[in-house]
Amino acid sequence: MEVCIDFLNWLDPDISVQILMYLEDPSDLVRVSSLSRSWRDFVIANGFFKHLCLRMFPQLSRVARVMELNKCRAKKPVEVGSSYSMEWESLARDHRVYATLAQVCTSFIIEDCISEAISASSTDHYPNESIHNTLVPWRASYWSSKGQSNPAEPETLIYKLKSEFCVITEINICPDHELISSWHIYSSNSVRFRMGHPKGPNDLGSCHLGDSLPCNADDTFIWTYTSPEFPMAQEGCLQKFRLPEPVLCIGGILQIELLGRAQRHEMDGLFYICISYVQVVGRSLSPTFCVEILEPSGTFVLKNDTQGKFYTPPSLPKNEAHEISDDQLQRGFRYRQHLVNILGGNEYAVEFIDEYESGEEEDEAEVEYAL
Amino acid sequence: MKFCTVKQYFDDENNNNVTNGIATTVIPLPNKHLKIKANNKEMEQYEQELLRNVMPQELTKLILAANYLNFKEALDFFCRTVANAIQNKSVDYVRKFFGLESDFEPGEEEKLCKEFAWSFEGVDED
Repeated sequence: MEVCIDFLNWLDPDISVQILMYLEDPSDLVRVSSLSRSWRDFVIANGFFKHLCLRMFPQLSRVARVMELNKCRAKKPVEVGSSYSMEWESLARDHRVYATLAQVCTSFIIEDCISEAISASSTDHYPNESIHNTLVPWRASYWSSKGQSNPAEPETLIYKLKSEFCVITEINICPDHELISSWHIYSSNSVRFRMGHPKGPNDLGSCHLGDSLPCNADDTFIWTYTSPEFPMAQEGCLQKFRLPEPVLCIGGILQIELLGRAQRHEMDGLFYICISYVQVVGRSLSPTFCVEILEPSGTFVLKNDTQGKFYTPPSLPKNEAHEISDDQLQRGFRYRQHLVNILGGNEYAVEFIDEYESGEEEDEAEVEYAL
Repeated sequence: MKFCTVKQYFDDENNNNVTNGIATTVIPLPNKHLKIKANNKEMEQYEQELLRNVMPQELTKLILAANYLNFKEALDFFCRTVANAIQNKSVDYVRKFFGLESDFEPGEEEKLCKEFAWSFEGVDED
């Protein structure tokens, strides 16, 4: 005869909580809540999934409440606990929503999450060297800041992500070479990332690509996450900056802060930063999840569309994605070097030809990129 | 501090909370911890050795003993062991482990499996 050692009956609730807190895989927690009614009720009542999600993503501490959209209701809700009450229904809803969130956040599909470029703190030769150039890896083009005599003057690049709710794991940046003289690399000394949301629903419109005047980022956006500072190598290759933990970007806005200018331009003696490619790696949680930001508190409502199907992009395995990018970048650089050789190093002629050729190259490149 | 309750245990002759067998397992732990604290791998091996011979039923008693003796490190260790024992295991396996029976209505369990289908895949073989 088997001895029943149902912990819930034998142990203090505190100890049972302690045991279950060691389970970090959301699947384990779901299975535990499927053992029996009392185990299910215990998991719901103690909010284990909410605690698990909060441990994974401290950004979720700003959740005011959760909502379920498109939930099919049976004629009468199946009884979910010993006493049906508003509070219990709220706990049960938290349980379902956070369980789904934990599961999607721990699945390892990754994609490039940038949707569009918003603005740069300064741009040289606008619009030829605009931030828009950083979205495509292969093209022999780049964003350039304006020149500064003070090398400590920072720059920022702001991007909009694919949705307002993304998990971001790393950001990759390729600084630009200068091919005219000896291979100068216009990177920064270090880089830092912020994520957040626009202050108001209309703020994004006033701060868009196409303005040669940059918006004041701190007036327009609220930053809810700031990464540590990463040193940047003085190398013109795709540099990977892996965040210490995956981060939930709530609001879909990402800022790259480029700190300290490394390279002075020979012609005018000013310090510039030039970036040729930016990639933000992670996954969008839309349409299964979306957020509504509540101003002015800055808290938000987490909404789970129970019928929202995940779009699964044809994601590249991580290494492959980076190899392709590097290869395409090298092709772009060789193209420009070839032009320089032909023209005997005449800088202005190179710029002219870049523009002229860019139309054709774009079509070709887009086909390659999609492969 | 760790040994206050232990002292109390020895003083209290009429102690029903902790059987002798359990005590002999739990009480040497502090010394062992101190001796091989630096070497995590050794500690792991010692812990694995300790638990190889422990039946699931005894784990509850070990936890109760560690709790009564107010021995936090042992309590953490035993709790972690239970969690490790049920990680990535099927629902049936875990029910057997705890000696539980399902008290769900016929439709309820299916509904759970359907709602969280992703969590029932890829478990270890029983």
